[in-house]
Parts: sequence; C-alpha cells; structure tokens
Amino acid sequence: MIRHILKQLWAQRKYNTWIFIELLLVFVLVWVLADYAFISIHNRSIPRGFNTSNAYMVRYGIYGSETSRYNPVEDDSIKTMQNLDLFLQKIKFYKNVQTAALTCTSWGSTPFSGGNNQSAVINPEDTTKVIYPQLKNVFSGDYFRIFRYASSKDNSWERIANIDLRQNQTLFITKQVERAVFGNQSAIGKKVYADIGEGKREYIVAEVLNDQKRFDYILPYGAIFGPSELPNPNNLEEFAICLRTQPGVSERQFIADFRKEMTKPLQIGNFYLKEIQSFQSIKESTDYMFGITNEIRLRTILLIFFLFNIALGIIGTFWFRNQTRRGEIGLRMAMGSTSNKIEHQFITEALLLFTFAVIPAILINLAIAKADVIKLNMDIIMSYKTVKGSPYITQNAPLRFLITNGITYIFLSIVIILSAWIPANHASKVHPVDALHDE
Amino acid sequence: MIKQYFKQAWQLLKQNKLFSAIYIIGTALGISMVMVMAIINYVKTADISPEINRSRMLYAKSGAMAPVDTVRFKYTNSGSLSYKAAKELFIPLKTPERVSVMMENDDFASLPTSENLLKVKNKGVDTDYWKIFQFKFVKGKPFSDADFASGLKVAVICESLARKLFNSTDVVGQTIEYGFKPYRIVGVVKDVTYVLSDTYAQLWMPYTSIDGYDYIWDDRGGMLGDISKIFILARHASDFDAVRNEINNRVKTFNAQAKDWKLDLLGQPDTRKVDVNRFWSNVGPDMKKIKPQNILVVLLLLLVPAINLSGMNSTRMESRLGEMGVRKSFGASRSKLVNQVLIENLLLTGLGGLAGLILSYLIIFFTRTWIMDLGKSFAEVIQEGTSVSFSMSMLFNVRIFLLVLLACLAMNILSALVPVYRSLRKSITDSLHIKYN
Repeated sequence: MIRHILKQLWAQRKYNTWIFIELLLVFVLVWVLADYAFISIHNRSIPRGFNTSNAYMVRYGIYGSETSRYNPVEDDSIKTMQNLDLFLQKIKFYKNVQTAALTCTSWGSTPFSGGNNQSAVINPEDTTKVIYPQLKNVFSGDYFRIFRYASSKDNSWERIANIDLRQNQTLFITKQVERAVFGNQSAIGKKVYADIGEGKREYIVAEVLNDQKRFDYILPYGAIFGPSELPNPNNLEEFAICLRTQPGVSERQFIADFRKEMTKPLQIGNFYLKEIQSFQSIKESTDYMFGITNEIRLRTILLIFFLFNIALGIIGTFWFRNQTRRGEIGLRMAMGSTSNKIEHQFITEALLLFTFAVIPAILINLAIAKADVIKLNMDIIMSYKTVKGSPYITQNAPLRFLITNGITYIFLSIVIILSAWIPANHASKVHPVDALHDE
Repeated sequence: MIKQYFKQAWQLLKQNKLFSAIYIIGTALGISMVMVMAIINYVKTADISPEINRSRMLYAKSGAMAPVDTVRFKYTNSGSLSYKAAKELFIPLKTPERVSVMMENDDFASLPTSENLLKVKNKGVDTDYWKIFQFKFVKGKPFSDADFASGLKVAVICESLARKLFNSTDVVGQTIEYGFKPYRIVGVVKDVTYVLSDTYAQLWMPYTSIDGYDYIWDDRGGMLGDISKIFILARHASDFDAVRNEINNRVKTFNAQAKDWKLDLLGQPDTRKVDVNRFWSNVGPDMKKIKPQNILVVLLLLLVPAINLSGMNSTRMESRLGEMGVRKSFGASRSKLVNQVLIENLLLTGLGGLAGLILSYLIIFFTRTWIMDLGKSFAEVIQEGTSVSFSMSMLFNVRIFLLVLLACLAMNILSALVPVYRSLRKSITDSLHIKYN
C-alpha cells in the first residue's frame, strides 16, 4: 500500500512540488510559533508561589495645599497618620473584606508590579556564592496573609505572617536563593550579606519560602523579603492598602460596590479614594504594558493565518487532483475498493507528502536553533541554550527541540488529515459507473 | 482583446465555483495581512489631521547620561529629558520653524466640589504646539503667549469632556478642576482619536502651570526629567540635517562644559519613522535591522498564500492544456498565451484583493483598541471607557488603494507566472494529446 502511494506521489511530483514547498515553509514557521507557545505554557504551569485571587489594591490620594479641597487643619503629621489609620480601619470593616493592611508598594514589592529592585545576597563564608534576587519590602505580616507567599516547609503563610521581620535583622528568602547561596544545605538560621536599602549588612535567614515568579510567563525568579521603611507623612506615596476578600466574592460587584459605597466615607481629612484595582487586572495591565498580551495575539493571528493557508492548499490541490483522477478512482471501486479505503489512501498520500516535507524542515529548524535567532527582547527566556543543572525541560535544548518539533508535527498532521478528508470524501462518494464513464 | 480575456475569465470563474472560492479566499488572506500592516504604518507615519506636519517634523524624548569620571561612577543612566535639557538644547534652536515641548499626565477632572471624578489624559504644552498641530476649535482658542509665560491655570478641553461635565460645549470662561486644581477653560476642541498619540488628550494646559515643571534634579547634570516629547517642525524635510547639526553642536558645547555627566541623545532627533520604533531610553532603534525585518514579514505573508495559489494554478493549467494546445496550433505565441492567463488570473486576484481589503478593515475594526500597539516592546494601557476610532481618511486613501493594487500584482505574478510558463513549455502535440487522457 505505502509503496503504491509512494509511486503515486512520485508520478504526480510536478503538482506536488508546490504543496511540498508550502508544507516545508509552514512547518518551519509554525515550529517557531509552537516553540514560543510551549515555553509560554510550560512557564505558566509552574506555580506562582503566591496567590492573588480575591486580592485588591486600594490607592489613596492626598489633597495638596494647592488644591481646592485641601484642609490645612488636617495637615500636621500626627493628624495625617491618624487619618490614614482611619482610612485603613474603614476598609478593614467593609463587607466581605477578610484582611486589609497598609502595604509597601515600592519597586515590585507587590505581585505583578512592573518595577524590579534587584539586590545582591552573598554567603559570608564563601563570597563567590552570590545571587541577585528581587527585593520585596514588607511592611507587616499581613502581607503574607494577603498574597500567601508560603513557607517551603509546610506551605503555611499564617505561621510566617507571625514572624516579625523587624526584630533581630531577619530576612525570608526563596528556595532558589537558598540553592544559589547555600547549595544543598538548609539556610534557616544562617547569616547572609544583603542590602535592602540600608547598605550592605548581615541578616539572619528566618524562613525559606517557595519559589516565586515575577510574571506568569517567565521562570521562577529568586526573591528576598525584608522589612520596609516605616510610613511617615513624607513617604506615603510608596504605600497603598492591599486587601483580600472572602472567597467567592465577584470582582466586578466588589469593585462597583466599593466605589459607590466607600468614595464618600473614605474622604478623611486630606485623604480620598483614588483607585481600587484587583490584582488580576494589575497583572493584565502589566502584561499589556510589557507587550506580552499583544505578542500572544500576534502569534495567534499568524498561526491561524498559516493553518488556513495549508488547509486551503491541501483542499485545493487534492480536490483538483481527485477530479483528474476520477478514472483511477472508478477503476479502483470497480475492482472492489470501498469508499473507506479510497479515503484512507488519499489521506495517507497527504500525510506522506507532509512527512517528506518535514525532513528538510527539521534541518532548517535545527539551523535556526543552533544560530539561536529566536530570542526576544523580553523577560521570557527563548534562547536555545542548555542550562546545566536546570530542573526545567525548556532549558534542555535537545529535549525542547524534540518536543516542539513533535508538537508541530502532530498538530499539523491533524490539520492535514482534516483538510485532506474533505476532497477524499467527495471523491469516494462517486459512483464507479460515473467515474469510469469519464475514462 | 483584453475584454475577451476578462469575459473568458468570468466564465471560468463561474464554471469552477469551488476553485474560484478557494482562490479568492487564499488571495484575500495574504492581502488582508499586508493591508493591516500598511494601514497601521499609514496611521503611525502619514500626515493625518491634527498631526498634519509629520513629514517635516523631528522628535526627541530621551537621553542617556554617561559619567565624565569613569573611575568614580561606573554606571550610565537614561530616561526622559528634563525641562532644563529642552531649554538649553531645543527651545533656542534657530534652524527649525518651531519647537514645542510636551509633558503628559493623567488625573481626575471634575467640577469644583463635585463628587463626579473623571480620569482624563492631560498634555502640558506651549503655544507653538497649537501651531504645529492643527486642532479644530469648536469654541474659544488656544491659550495665549502671555497666559503661557505667566503660568496661568488655563485649559483647552475636548468636546466630549465638556459634554460629560457641563452637558454643553459652550463652556469658555467656566472653571474645571484638574487634579482638584481650578483651571479656566479658554477653548474647546474636537476630540482627537486615541490612535494619534501626540495629540490625543482630554485636557491641555500650559506646562508652565504645572508645579515643579522646571525642577532640576541635582543628579545626572539635571538633564533627565519629566518631558515626554519634544517636537521640532523644520521648514522643510531637507532641513533635517541642518537641524541635527545645530542640536549636535549644542550637545557638544554642553558636554565640553559638563563636570560630572555627559549627554548622549542616541541618534535623536528622530524622523517620524524612527520615532515610532524608539521604546527604550538607553538604546536607540536599529533601523538597519527593523526595515529588512518588516520586508521579510510582508514577503512571507504574501509568499505562503502565493505558493498555495501556484499549486492550484498548476493543476488548473493542466486541465486547460488542451485549449492551450489548440490556440498554439492556430499560431498563438507563447508570450500571448502567458499574457492571457495572467490577465485572467488578475481578475481572480483582483477579487481576492478587494475581499482582502474588506477583511483588513474588519480586522482593524475588531482589534482597534490594541492593534496599534502590536509589536511594541512597551505599550500604554488604554483607560477604561476610551473609545478608539479610525477616521475614514485613515482607511480610504490613495496610498492604501495603490498598495492593494501593488500587492495584487505581486501576488498574481508570484502565483501564476511559474506554473503558466512551465505548462506552456510543452509542445503542441503533447498538449493536444493530454486532453484525451
């Protein structure tokens, strides 16, 4: 059977050349898209290391002395801090709010923020062991209750929320930082050098947390959690109020109600409600700003475009070929082939043709991977280089190459089977007498 | 003769509906992609009201500062330019016709004491801004040089904001609050669409009315700050080099006197085409790479469907070999036959092109809130409730239609020439023989 089909393909080579070239080209292009999709989906499947469902950020504004709504009586530092506390208390007691706390938002301290403050962490006994994780400034333990960064030991956020980072110069680090600085040893209770905004100092690691990611689409990113500055009337811009609602509260409803019911009560002294945003929408905004949302849209459009093209190509080529081969089909049917068998033959023909096109295509893909040209100007790691000791399959270049080419092959095969089936089915429905009549 | 060809082509089209449909859809796909790219490019770079002078404008927005003493400071720093940089390097320029400086912000607009707060986009500008861009004033006029010089709190607002707050556009002289600070309205302009980012805003005011607009940071020579863009209107596009020279001389003078930090404009000021590709302040766009990349993308988008159509053309030519054989035996030359098939084919590609153009309009319509940000490494998030529209002149214009025609011709030649040529190479007897196969 296969040998027979091969002969057929060879005999029709003149018409097959076009579709062959197209399949080859499209395989290469779709592979580039599949490679990105694979890495993107792989990275998204890794746990974030925190949880922001039901979490919101409330930003306050402060009327300055030049505004029409400024109240000079409320502007001394004691009154300001009292009013801020009242602002927070009102939110704490708002319906459906589980936890609310003043939170330091400077430089990527809260999840999905575009900001990033990297700071060296050094092993004091072996200063060659250095890593540059993200620094997260934590104002109070409620930070962990709201975002649920949890201990790697028992996955508890409640327990670490009760540890006071301001006492005894302590820090939390993530597992990635522990591995880089202490290898396989436990870091708990050990000393590290770090600079969390007060110059390089010695800190004690109080707890090791689960690996966390800066963004959904990248690999885990080391982080350290240290105490933030204390709020005072001059640095209130670096703070906001973060909160977590009871589970099951609808985001749209909560935000609409909050804006409606709290705008007035939250006009306290010179404070006013500026904005309430869910962390889900903060994430969406950051993804959009960094071009990720549009990158994915662009790639989806291109994928649909290429798929449509090969579907049209296969349908078109085989439809006309089948018409010119009606005599052959009639003859086969007269000789006892069932219509199923004929469909089967046509589909196998298309698949074999595709497989032949894939061989040179994979060689081209190999050259592309070797040249490492599909890097992106983004945080998502696309470079085709094996990272030694990395636990992620996306950083094992040969394996990644095999998987992504495999995905492309299977995916395109399905499209080809579906599109070859349409003309094959049409051709096989011909009555043998009609078909032979053409002869 | 050509009329005859078209008649025949129309018959062929009707005879083989499926072939025609697949062919037209295939062409439409390729053309629509290229057209979407062309429309985006047109909206980004062409002279479109109110940004009517783009073709003779230069743009600057950022600077990179490097330390003079590389032993003491081991890092460079980059960011938006400061008012001091604009005042020293750009505002006093002699070669260009006008120079305008813009700051951007957003905050609440409201009526005094009202609870109804609207988040609006604001541009802090000067008086030259209104002369470089052609805004349509519904009521009132731009703020005056005197208003600007004294930093008066006056504002021009857009029609839709006036309607939202006052239920009327006749609001010149009324007070509006921006960031809870009172501004007197001096003019109302027609709304500018979101896709024209240099002119899109709801409220414009003299930047001299913003507190601390001229604040000088001690660091980095005071050259980095809050300016979002500097517009330079040259008298003519051929003056660009002269303008650049004048700016470079000023930068040189500044750097010669600099104690701690030297400024590098990284190739700015940019022409419009370069400006739309500049996203980062520490590295300029590599146009030598971007241009061939774009050409490659256009080629791929045309090539993939063209290969498809070539395959279909070659099977179709096969079924018409008999006809071609007869024509040949009656003395038709090969070039005549090639012409005939190409013209016939042009009818199909033309229909495909038309369908493609319509498809591209549909794509633009459904993706209008984000399509302009495609391919940007850094994009601004659109505010809730902003309406985005493309004007008729952006979609229906000679440049776009000429491009469709060009794309169709390219597609036609790519997809038909080779198969037709190949099949006509056969000798008459072969062609006639195959008919009875």
